Amino acid sequence: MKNRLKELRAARGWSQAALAEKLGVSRQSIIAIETGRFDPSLPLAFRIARLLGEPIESVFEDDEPA
Amino acid sequence: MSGHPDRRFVTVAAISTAFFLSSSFAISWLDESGAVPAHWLWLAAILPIAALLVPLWALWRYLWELDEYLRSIQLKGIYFGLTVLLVLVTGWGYAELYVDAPRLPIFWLNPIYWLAYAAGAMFFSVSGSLQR
Repeated sequence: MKNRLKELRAARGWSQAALAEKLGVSRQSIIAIETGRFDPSLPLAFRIARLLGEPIESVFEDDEPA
Repeated sequence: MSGHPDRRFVTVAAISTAFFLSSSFAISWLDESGAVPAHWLWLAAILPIAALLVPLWALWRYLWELDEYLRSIQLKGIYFGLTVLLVLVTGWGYAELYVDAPRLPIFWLNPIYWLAYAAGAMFFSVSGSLQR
């Protein structure tokens, strides 16, 4: 799954550590999600989207062909 | 006990390891000294089981205190530890049967599992960091 987390986080001037703290997860988790090594669970993906004030499909994109 | 999950787990693991080792040596000493009747030795021999159950319980609690990414790393470490253990004991068992390999005392399975789990968890943690 592709995501725009790094771009959206940077646009808000948040560090990885600050985003991790807001979400209540580790900084390693943010790094793993941003680099595409880890796909978050649906509840965490919704929390991320809600925090960023974006629709979930604008943060995460399914890279499987339709 | 409060504090960071990593610190809490390491503390419990260190204390239980110390208890495991000291109770193991104590049983050996009691057996050799002949200071206690045989039925007390049976009781003493199961003491290290407590030292096995405590870190397993601590690991379970630790898993659910971590976030989902860190938990996935620990679960990979647990799977790696179990894989190493099963491969080793099966292979060693056949080696004992057919090529007269020296007997492996089964109490070694406990430290072998924990060492393999620790190595696996560290590997998956570091390999994840290297891909940044």
